[in-house]
Amino acid sequence: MSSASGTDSGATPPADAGAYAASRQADLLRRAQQGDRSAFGHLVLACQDRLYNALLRMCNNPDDARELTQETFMRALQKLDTFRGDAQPYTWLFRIATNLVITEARKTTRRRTTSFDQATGLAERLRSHDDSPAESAQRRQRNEQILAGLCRIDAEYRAILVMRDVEDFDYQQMADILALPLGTVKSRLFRARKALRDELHELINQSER
Amino acid sequence: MSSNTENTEAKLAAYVDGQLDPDQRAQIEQYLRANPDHQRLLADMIAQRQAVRDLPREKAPADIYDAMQAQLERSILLDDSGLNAPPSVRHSRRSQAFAIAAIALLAIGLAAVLYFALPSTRPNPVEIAATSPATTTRAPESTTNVTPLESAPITVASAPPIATTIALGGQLSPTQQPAPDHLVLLVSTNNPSQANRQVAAYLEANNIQWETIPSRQAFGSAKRELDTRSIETFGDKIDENAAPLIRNADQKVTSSFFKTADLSKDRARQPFILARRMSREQAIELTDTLSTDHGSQHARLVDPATTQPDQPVVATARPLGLPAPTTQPEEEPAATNKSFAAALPPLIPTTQLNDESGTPTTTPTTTTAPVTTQPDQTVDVVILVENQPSTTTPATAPTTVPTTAPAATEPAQP
Repeated sequence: MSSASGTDSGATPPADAGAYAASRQADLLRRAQQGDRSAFGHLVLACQDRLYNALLRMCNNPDDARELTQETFMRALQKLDTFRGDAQPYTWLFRIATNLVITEARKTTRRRTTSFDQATGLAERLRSHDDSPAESAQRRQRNEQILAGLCRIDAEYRAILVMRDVEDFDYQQMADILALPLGTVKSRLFRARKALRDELHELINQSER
Repeated sequence: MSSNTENTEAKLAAYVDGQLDPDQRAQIEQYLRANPDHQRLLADMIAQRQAVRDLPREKAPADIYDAMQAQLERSILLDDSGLNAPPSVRHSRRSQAFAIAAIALLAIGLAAVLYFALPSTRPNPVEIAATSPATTTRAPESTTNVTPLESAPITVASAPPIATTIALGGQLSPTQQPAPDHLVLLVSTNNPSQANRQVAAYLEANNIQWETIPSRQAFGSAKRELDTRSIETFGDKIDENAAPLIRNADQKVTSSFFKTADLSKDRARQPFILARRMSREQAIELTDTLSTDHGSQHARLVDPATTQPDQPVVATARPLGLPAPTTQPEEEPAATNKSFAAALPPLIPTTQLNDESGTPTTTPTTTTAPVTTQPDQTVDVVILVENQPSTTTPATAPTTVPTTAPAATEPAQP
């Protein structure tokens, strides 16, 4: 039985916290593959917050995010022996989650595409302000609009935006997750941002009418 | 979309992310100065990117861990989550293809060796079967369709069909065995969910500790020894101290079960229920409970430690209590129902247990293996519910014995 900490591999923790977390998760996953039952549980605990947050941003529904988080870990458990260690465990989990979200979204009607040029001024309206009560309410409203906008764009665009702007994956990680060339990833990221921008314009204009 | 457009979009995305080198950045900015609409577009994107990054970070619900564990149990029990599905179809099919090819090659090779190396003494399939390390040395008595070696070499090395193997209890030791460390309750049903609920209801009603164990393949390579890393994946959360003990017990039980009885990848994918420390009479009572009068569900209790190949069951369900092909019990225990049940040898017809007098009925079932089980002894029970949509007859009394399936001529006597 593994220790509760899940860090008994004996390896020296890397200096960088992110690298250390990735190293620890890799260790947990390897041990889970070898039959350590508690290791997978520790991996769940280590990744659930981050994964839940990403999924919440992808679907903007806490219940759905919760279910998708659970389902992601369930799928990971099923596919434990397919993890080859050529990606970080969280990246692998995120890939499973992304596929789940996209697959689920494809069951519903695709969202429309938007025109290239629409009203301008979004930058000003999205700009942060000081945190007076009124501004705080405004910021909250802005967050709600962004989340609503995210939900209105195509699931694949949503996933790529979350990867880059929420998860802060680099282009190569995104290319690995999506199994696409780097140039295609960047191109899709641009189109995803444009789609969100168009949706936000529409939402903001609606709210200001 | 042309590659030129894609390149431009890629550069603009990198510009928004601040990932361009100075030359490329200057080039883009020069273009934007001449195209105010696009300049506004990119300014929007940069602001929007920051706004998305500024979204608050949400934590997972506190109970997500427990909920996931519950979902795992429920999925396995009710077979409703696809957990039974192959984890990776491509992987699974490739593995199966390799396995089939390997078996075919092995079979052909063995047949060729036997055919060419021993031309003057061409054995019949029964003798060849006896040479296989995977089978016993006893020839089947009831083989009704003996195929010449030349016409069907693959049958020589093929394993018995899984249904028969399971019904036979798997382990082929003819010698006296100690008290069983576990029993296997096989349920064939056209409604697995309902059967699982019946099992759960019975176990709960009798305060029997139980858990659902997912498939072996759900957790790893088929090369690994089976263990049950499912609920105990989170075992330290359930009980930090008990988990290692539970795990060891699981490995003992399930590896024994699968090594002896599980020859099928399909079956290996099936989850099962592990009921802990049931009394023998409870196991038999549950077997009865799980059987229906109309034949749509049939339960058999198998003792893999003591059951002989031709002695399929510890107990078959009462309503279906078909006669087994061999002998009567050598001794008829004289006891009342409860203690009688617990003290009986492993192979005992349920019909006897339901006879108020304790006297065996006319329904014969094989009793062979000696038993050391004491009345107060308990045993873990592996409960495997299988979907058999057209189950009309039980599989406990196969009408034919596979070519390579060993069939004991006499049951082991106490």
